[in-house]
Amino acid sequence: MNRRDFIKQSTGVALGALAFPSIVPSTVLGRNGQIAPSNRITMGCIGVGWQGTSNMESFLEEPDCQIVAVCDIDQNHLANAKAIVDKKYDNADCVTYHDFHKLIARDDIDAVSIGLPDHWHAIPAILAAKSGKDIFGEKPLAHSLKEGRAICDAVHRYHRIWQTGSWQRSQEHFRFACELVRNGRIGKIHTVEVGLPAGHTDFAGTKGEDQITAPPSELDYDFWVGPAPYMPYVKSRVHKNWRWMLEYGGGQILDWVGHHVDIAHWGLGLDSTGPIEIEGTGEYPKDGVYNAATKYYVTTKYSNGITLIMAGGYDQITGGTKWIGDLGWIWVNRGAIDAHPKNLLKEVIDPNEIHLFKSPGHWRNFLDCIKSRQQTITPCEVAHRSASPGHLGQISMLLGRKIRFNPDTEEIINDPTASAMLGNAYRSPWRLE
Amino acid sequence: MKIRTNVSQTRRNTVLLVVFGMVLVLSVFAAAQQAAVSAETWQKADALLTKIETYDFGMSRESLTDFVDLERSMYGSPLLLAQLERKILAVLKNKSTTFAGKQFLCQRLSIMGTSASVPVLANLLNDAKTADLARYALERIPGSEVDRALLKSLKKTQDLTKIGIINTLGQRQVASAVKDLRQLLSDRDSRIAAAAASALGMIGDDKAIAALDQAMTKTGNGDVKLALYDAYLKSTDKLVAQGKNTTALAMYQKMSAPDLPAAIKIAALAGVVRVDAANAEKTLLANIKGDDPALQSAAIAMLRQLPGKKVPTNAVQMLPQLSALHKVQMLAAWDDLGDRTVLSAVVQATTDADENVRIAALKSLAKLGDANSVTLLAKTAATASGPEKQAAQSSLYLLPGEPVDAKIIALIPGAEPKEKVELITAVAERDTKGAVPTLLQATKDQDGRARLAAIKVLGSVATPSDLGSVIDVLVDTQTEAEQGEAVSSVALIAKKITEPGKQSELVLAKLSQVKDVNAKVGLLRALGRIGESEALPTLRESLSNKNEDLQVAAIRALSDWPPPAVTQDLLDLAQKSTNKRNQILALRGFIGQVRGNTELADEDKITQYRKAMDLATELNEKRMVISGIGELKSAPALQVAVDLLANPDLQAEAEAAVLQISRTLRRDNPEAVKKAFTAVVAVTQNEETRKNLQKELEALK
Repeated sequence: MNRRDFIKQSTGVALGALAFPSIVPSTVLGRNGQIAPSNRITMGCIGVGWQGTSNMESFLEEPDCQIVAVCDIDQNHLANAKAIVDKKYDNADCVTYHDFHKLIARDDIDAVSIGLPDHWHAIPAILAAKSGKDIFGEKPLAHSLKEGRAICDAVHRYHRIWQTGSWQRSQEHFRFACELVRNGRIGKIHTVEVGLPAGHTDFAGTKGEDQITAPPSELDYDFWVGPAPYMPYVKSRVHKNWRWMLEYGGGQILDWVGHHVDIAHWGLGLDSTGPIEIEGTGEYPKDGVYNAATKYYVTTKYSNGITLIMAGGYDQITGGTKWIGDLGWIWVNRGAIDAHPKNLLKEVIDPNEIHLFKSPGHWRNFLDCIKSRQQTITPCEVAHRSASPGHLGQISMLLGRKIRFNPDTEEIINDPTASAMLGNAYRSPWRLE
Repeated sequence: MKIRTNVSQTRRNTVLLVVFGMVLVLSVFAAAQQAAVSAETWQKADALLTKIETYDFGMSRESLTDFVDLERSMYGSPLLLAQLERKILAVLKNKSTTFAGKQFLCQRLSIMGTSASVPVLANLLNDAKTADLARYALERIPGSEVDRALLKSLKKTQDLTKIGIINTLGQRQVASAVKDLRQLLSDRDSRIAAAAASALGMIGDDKAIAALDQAMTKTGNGDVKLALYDAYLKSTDKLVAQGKNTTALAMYQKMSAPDLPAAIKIAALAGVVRVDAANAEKTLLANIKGDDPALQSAAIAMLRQLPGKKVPTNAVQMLPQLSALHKVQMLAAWDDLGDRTVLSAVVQATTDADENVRIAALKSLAKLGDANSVTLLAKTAATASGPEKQAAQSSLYLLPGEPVDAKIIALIPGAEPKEKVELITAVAERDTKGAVPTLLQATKDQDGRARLAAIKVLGSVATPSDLGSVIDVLVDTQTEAEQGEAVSSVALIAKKITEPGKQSELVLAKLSQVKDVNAKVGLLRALGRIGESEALPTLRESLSNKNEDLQVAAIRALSDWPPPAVTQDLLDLAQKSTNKRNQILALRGFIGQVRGNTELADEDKITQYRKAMDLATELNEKRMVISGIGELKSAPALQVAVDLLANPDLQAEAEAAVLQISRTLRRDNPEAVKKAFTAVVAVTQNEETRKNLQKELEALK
């Protein structure tokens, strides 16, 4: 399907009633304690490649969620996802879509899970919000700061529930680390070091397959490129490894900012603001297919005086998040936590102190909030603020200069060029609304 | 008068002189800037642009990245950038420049381009093949020249090009485009009409709103309608930001019409509540009472936005009449509002027929409850199951306030056994101060579960000043499980003593006093857990005690000792003991010491494990050794595991060890891993393992 054909078709967006999730008391559960499909939260999964399938499988494990449709522009992904869903439910009911508009147009779907490359985060998310769907979206929230704001505005305007795939917040030891910081166990924080990966990880095993070829028949490549500038198909820059292309992703810094900076902000209680000063240096490849930074060091300053450093490829900055205060430090990463003094790790946070939300599981939390209409553990605005230092760091690195930022108005101060880089023009006909 | 004129002329002349001087300084500065960039730099720029002119996708990007570096070196110098811009435009004008080259140059102009680029970009904009490229730059370049060029091209272009221009006009919020966009709202091509609606929503001024307003009554196309509704709502939000609440309210109310899509009505309701604070409560309650479940949900959720963070009385009264889902949502909203005046309604909801409602109510007691909620929470935690039990426990642990702690302590002595256990556990979870006397009393409770819970919790809440009392508890324990917990608690409390050599003092003193063997066993075990050198002579002496139970207790205590101080003691015992049981226990202790020694190099661990393997006569101990080997990360360790594959009794454990070591070794030593996998494939009885490893071997080739 080419761009012209695609947009000529009526997208048939939902203009009818909203689907309405039900909850049923355990006394009316079906046989074997199962919740009848008709009483489950209905979900459609848009983008069922790598992370999208992983999210879909997590939702499949939840008894009150029913995946009713999957959507992808790669027929192999689509067939694989349908097979997984149908096997789980022991039927052949999962409907497949090539075009996300069609899935979102269904008024019997409560929520969508979006697992697409970064450059495709905003458009379906905003459409889903306008169509009254609740949304599980991936990190980073968007491909640019401007897109992130647009997503937040749409989610807020249409009163939707949003969960970001920043799942570290749902893990006990990350929460505990943040609670220690919030409750002053290491005193006044002055510095946070966020260590992120460097280089270009070959997630797809396609590194080096850099020749321009015809796209494989199963992939609608033009649709895949979507709002990004057109480039011919090269296997190594599409599935999984797209993140090393600035046209589609943001390199390691943006790939991880939604995890470790997200945790840094959570610990600092800075979920609704951002840095005021950003200065970064990045090493961008001179040649080859990938163009995202392989090594980077970004220093940001917040209005409360805290310095937050994001670095990849610098040994002195350990992977994970490390808050440093005047009484000690706390470091946390996947599967590990450490502190100085060490006995902080045995501390109990008593009921009169700050307790952060204890998530029952990241995907579970989303479903619970669809029902209760409470904020999830990583709502849209939080994801936007977690990603902001990454976007601003990228701009500073690309321009090679320090930038100043007003987190209230989300404007870069006295630097029109840097300001212009907060968003990108889309290839027609795609638009940011 | 004349004098005045002269003065004023003098002033004018002075001003002119100053201005002239400034211009001169700036010119000199500019010339100096340009001179700073050598002719060589410009030659380099020209050479790079020549390459870029013929650059195509798939070619080396080096000329592009070199060009970006060169451009970056000129940031901060508008004059240099202007010159570079002129050079870029010359290449862009060239018809032979490739698409890829033009795309790259337009992207550069999007960063450093100025109004000087507009004529060239406008030409590209009128060509369907390059229109997107031109917009990449034009959307970012400031100035009315860009707006005029876009408007001019809007009339000339069709199809995707036109849509792209409309989108860019919207992103730039070009107010002068409203007239043209208004006309496009009725375009036969619904794509164009929807894009125009969206652009008008971005512009959002009075004229744009009027255009959207009029179009909404006419269009029948679903795509365009949604774009119109969205644009109208977006424009209304802008009015709110400008403080024009009265107009905004009327617009939101218009979007609340019954025949509009539910999503739009919800957005409109949110708007109404935001701008009409005086009637917000009434509006929300009316919607909660209504018959549209989606709007009911939204209205309940929006209670959070009411001024004063108070739950309306009528909302409290409505709770029993709501559906289970809406009750859950209502309780969640109250929870977020933190208004404790609703407590009695929440307590009532904990008895609701629907489990989900009960859970929501129990959860909200963590914030809305008080000391009086403790009894309910403890009882529910003791009697309910699954998520309901967890909700009650969680609220019992999180409910803040000293009166809550006091209530928990007060309730423990008289509580039913299961509730007592919940209350005692809450003491640990809450780190409740002042509970030790009550817990000590509970260690003598008639109910074994309560005793066990109390002994365990003492370990976390008692202080060194309580150590003597807790040692007494250890001495008096009645079951093996209680003794185990008491040993842990005594060790935990003793380790809180910071003075060197004092941690085991009280335990040693008690050991010298007691006669009962069981009590001595417990105390010896506690000394092992504390691991303070002052206790070592006593433990070593106990190894040769006539009483076998005390010998065993001493071996176990040494096994618990932090390595490496007693590792050799255990090895000696494993080698020399004539008592089979003691020999096995010492060997297990030795293996545990090797595993737990983080300072020991892999090579040394392998040596120690070999000793252990030689001493092991039973399969259990051999398996323990293999588990230890599996934790190592070196090629020699992998070889040991491979060698053990030959023993049929240990093959499964050896396979597991090979796989475990290979995970960490794979990247650094793929050859060793390949060899090991091949060895496993040759002997494994597990078909799945064989298949998986064959795949792995393929991947490793």
